[in-house]
Amino acid sequence: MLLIDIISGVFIFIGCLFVFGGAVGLVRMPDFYTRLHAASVTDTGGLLFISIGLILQAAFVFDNPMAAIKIALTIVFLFFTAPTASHAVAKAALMANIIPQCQNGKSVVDESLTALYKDKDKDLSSVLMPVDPPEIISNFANAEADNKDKST
Amino acid sequence: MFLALVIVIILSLILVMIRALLGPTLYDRLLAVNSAGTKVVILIAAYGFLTGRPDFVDIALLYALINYIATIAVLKFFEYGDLGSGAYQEDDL
Amino acid sequence: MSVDAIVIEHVIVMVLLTLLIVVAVGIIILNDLLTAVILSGLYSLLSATVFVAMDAVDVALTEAAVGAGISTIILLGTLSFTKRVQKPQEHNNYAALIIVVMTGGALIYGTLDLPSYGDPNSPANSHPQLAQHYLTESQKEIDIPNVVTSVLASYRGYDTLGETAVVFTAAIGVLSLLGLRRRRRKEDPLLTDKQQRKQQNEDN
Repeated sequence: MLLIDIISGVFIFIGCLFVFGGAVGLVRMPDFYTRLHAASVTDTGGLLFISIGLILQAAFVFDNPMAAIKIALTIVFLFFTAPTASHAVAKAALMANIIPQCQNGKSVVDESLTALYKDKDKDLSSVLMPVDPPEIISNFANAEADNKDKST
Repeated sequence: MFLALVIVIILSLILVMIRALLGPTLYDRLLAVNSAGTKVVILIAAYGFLTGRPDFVDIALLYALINYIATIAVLKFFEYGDLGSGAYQEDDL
Repeated sequence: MSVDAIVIEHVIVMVLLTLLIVVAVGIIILNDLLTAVILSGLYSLLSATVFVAMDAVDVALTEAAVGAGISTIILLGTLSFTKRVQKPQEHNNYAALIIVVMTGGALIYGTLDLPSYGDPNSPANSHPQLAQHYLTESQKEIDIPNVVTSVLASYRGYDTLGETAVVFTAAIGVLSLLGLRRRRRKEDPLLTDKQQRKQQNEDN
């Protein structure tokens, strides 16, 4: 009993460090993309360690295996959804021309790419999202069909 | 132990709320709200342990799923300006 | 439960309620409507936590599903028909302020008559048969093991039906306004390429 308390306490303490560090980072970081790092720490590290601690408590101290299974399911779901949401936020911010900043005032991305971001008329989707694989395959098939047409 | 956990999460919830209220861009606010969602999930789970009845984890589970839907809906609104279904549909062609 | 635990629980509820007020003031002050929608998501997150802290688990479940999920989407759908920034106010509307303050004051005055939180002498708890009847007889009468479910879905079934009808009507109304508009991007090179290919296929 005591051993389980100590082990889960250590896990929960590590998780608390992650969560609180992430929250402080979210307030203190200078620009959006660095804040994204801080927020992701909460979603992955903090959640994982705190949940492991809670699972140990639920299974061995509270003697409630159902709650342990539900917390494990929460981890699974959040590990699918949280990175997806972070990725979507980052992509939307990049599409909205929010440029990553660096400490010495220079932009961290390549100059030509920055110019592309600033030019709102240009279509960013070709730079950011290369043509998806099915599209490439169908293009390839079409090209082959065209060649056959020419040869015959 | 659970009390300390709940206090730490509420403190970080306050910090995240500061960012959500200050946030210069909309994306900062959205990121803060999304992060607050994760913290609320942990808080609800931990609160059940604090009161000695860890049966209410269902709500944490539900929140883990719902929070994601709201974020994705807001982002879809950002990107397209409406919530219409599907980017291209077959009968559009 | 010891006295300390009750005090801790009350302090946590008070802190969460204070955060709720801060978020509500933020929603009122900020002019950007999209920000208000995002912050209302945060508001419903916090209020669901308050419900869990006050042991109203069924309300918390409803708040999670309706407040954070559906209402954000409905508000966003409404927002796609209007502008994103609030119109600047040109005149001060004191009559509206007086009406709102009076309504709010009347509601707060009404809560004074309600029994306090967890009061054992409240009418619902002190009635001789009510709680006893639900706890002992609901298994026999309704044949559902969970008492809350049988009260919600059977003893006050019409009330629940009305609530469901209201939410359903709101969702249908918004969807009927929203779902009919399609995105079209005529200038998209990929789309025109696809169109050409489709026409070629039809010609062949």
